[in-house]
Amino acid sequence: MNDMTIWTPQIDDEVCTGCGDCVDACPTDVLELFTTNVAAVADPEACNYCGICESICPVEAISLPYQIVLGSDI
Amino acid sequence: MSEDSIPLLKLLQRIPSFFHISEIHLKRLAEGAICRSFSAGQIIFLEGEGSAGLWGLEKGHVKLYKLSPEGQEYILRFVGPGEAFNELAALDNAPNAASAMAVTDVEAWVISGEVFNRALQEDHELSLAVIQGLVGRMRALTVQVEDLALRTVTARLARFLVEQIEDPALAHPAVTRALIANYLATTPESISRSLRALEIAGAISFNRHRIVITDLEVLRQQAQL
Ligand code: SF4
Ligand code: SF4
Repeated sequence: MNDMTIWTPQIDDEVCTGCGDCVDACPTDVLELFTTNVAAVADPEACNYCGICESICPVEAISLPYQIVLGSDI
Repeated sequence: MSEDSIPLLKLLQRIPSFFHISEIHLKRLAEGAICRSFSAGQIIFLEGEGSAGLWGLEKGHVKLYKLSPEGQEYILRFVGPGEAFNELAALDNAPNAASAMAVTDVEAWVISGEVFNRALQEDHELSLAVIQGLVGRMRALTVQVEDLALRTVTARLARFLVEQIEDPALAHPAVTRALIANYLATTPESISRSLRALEIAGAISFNRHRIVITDLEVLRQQAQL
């Protein structure tokens, strides 16, 4: 579960309408609109988990997965 | 008993309310059980369909949920390894009371309602154990109803986080705001506000993809526990 691909924004490509709002809003250019007209995570390492994409998406296609840990465990 | 159902016997022996049931009765329950695999996101059974029998979870996590007519999901509970679910429909052979979906890849055993009921008739201790298990679920549901009616979203969220830390069986490998919202019957926006409130209170902090419980005592206070 420490795989980087898991801890990046998850985009449901069946829900995404390809509006591009998340791509424009991301402050670190993580997201891209693919030719298939769905948003995708192009640069996962640049994502700082600010959550802007999740809150801006009009159709709730993006979600950020979180891991819950106890402070003393990390 | 077939060789195949030995892992199920081990699983049944791990279910707390079955602890004191003799092996011979658990073996009877394990007879005829089938092990099934599901991938993450796959539906195991649907609410309203004919009874899907009694399930015991070997590996992975399952969510039990209901859908409103508008399609809004409400998560009743998460099931972890070593737990049983769908007891109600297995007992009365009525349609499933909730839907079940694999949250991660899952391996689970299913025991038909018929086998389950026969075993209950033959074994007084097993019946008592099942009643005790159901009483525990009843109490948990009562707390859930009380939470919904009387507690703020922040208190409910704090309780959810405490449970995630304190009950390894329930610990979810990855949670999203939408998932927590569906569990606490609220919206992702109010989960965001409550997460911020808990951060300001000093109970949690964010470390990229981690929600770090920085002060469990403060979190418990926020949860009104
Ligand atoms: S969480 Fe922030 S940084 Fe990461 S993709 Fe979304 S908007 Fe960009
Ligand atoms: S904002 Fe939502 S719908 Fe629009 S492109 Fe991004 S993920 Fe797709």
